Amino acid sequence: MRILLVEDDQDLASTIQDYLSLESHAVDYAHDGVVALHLATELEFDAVILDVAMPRMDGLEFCKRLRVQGKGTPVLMLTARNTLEDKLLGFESGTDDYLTKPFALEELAARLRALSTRGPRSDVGVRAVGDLQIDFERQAVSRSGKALKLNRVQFALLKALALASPGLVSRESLEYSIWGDEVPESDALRTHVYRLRNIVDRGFETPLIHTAHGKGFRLAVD
Amino acid sequence: MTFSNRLSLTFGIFTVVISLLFAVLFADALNLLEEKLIGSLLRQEAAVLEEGYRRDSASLVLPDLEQLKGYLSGQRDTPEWLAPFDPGYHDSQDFQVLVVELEPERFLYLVYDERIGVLDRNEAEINLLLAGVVAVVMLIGFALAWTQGRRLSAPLVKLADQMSAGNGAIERELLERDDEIGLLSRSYAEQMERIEAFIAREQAFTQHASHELSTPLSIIRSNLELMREPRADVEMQQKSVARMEQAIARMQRQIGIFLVLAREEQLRGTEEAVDFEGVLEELLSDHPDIVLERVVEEWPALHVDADLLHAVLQNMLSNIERHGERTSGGYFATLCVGSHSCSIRNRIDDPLRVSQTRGGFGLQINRKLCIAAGWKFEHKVTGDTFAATVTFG
Repeated sequence: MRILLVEDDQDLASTIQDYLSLESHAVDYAHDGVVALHLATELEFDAVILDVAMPRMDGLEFCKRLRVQGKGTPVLMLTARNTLEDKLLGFESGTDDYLTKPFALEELAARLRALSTRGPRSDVGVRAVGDLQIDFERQAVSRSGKALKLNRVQFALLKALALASPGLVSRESLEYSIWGDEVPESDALRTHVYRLRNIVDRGFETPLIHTAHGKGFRLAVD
Repeated sequence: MTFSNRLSLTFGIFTVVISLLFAVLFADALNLLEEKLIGSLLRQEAAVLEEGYRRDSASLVLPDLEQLKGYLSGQRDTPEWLAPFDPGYHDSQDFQVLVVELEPERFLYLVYDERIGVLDRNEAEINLLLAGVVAVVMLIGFALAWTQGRRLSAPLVKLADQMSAGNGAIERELLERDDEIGLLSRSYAEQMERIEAFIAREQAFTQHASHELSTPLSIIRSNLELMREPRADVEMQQKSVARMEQAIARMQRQIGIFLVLAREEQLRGTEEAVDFEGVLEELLSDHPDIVLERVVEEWPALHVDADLLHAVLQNMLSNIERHGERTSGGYFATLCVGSHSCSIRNRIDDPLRVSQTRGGFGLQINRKLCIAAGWKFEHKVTGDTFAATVTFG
């Protein structure tokens, strides 16, 4: 694995580097958030180990900016801040995992393996399907340059379809992505898909939302 | 006794006293009125009789009513007890007597018998009526007192409820009252704000302490793990030992500083001079990105805990890394050292962020440490330049 280690404490950084080198990982090191962001956007890493309190740009800001720039590199936040509020802030900024100091190097390595198995996040940045553009961070949708206005449910539906595009998404998966375990009894999904189709496809030559009868829906240029 | 009951009782007693006074005054006023009316009646009657006497004394008919009787002195039926009365109006317990001198040694006595007057005849009924009125007034008074007591104490009860809720939130309505309850509410709210600020500072300090200690602890733990790692070579293990030693020294320093900050330990002066330059060099080796231009007039000869100087300088250097402007060559700063002071000046990348953090990293701690050491710590942001100065002694 190629890992970017962002940590302002050089002794701790050197220790982590030594251990990860024993695990046969290649580690690049950045002392502050600005340098780290430059490296993370210019190069490809399998994972980022990120300290929160750092000079110039803190870990939360680094994470937000990384996601806005469409980079889905898995991020493991490493910090002494261990309150629930701190953890929630970390996840809100776009981190994928959280490890509090002091920690075991073995656990750090195990978590890195788990993160790399999942691969980069696909729900960041801008996804394009044909002339349809979906900005996951800003929750903005446009088609052929024309901004489309979607409500929360419609955006969740489109996001689920876009992440699987051009693949098929089953009705059950779509329902779960919107309502979780509390799926309404009526066929509310059909109504929402109908409305979404009216917004996304009406007035455009090529329909993008397709129905696979009895199976589900998919977003693709056919 | 509750405040509202006290208020009710006070108002109630006041109502009773006022009602009784009113009853006494009313009864006296009635008696006075009766006397005035009778006096007036007697004088009118006397004037008529006096005129009749002067016209024809022989045919004068004196009043002989159940309540009002007239007598002339020297007549047989004139009661003897009237003889001592001089001319004028006399009010005895049961009678009112008007004596008029018709001619020398000739007196007219008009006697009004109060015992069979309207008031005396109906005294029981009047007293009953008065007692009834007093009772009703007292009842109304008590009811009003009870209501007012509760009404006046309601804001206090509300304030007490909000205080006991424990969240420190006081309703705007109470805070804006222009009375003693408003004053109490505002004082409580201000006190709560102070307590909350104190708790927030304590929490921030605890978090800071936890953060500062957890990093060296992580280094020790990770390096122990690394040393147990069979794949680690001798060189790696030696590095681990060195890192652990540094981390332990760092922890020791920080614990000492935290104890000073928590005021659990007084600063101990040292007889040996601290090597200012040595401490600075050691710190700069941990901050390779800082490029320091030094203007040294004289290295200060300090007799202070070396850990304290270490912490003050460490915070000043960390502040450069946190908020300083980074160029391709690193963070540039100017250090001016004299026998009695040391100052660091550097450009900052975001003055707004510096102002939001109350000046920068560790500066509040530096201020406290300098107070503990008997030094003075000042910092100033001018445009995009930050300057911090420590004056020794």
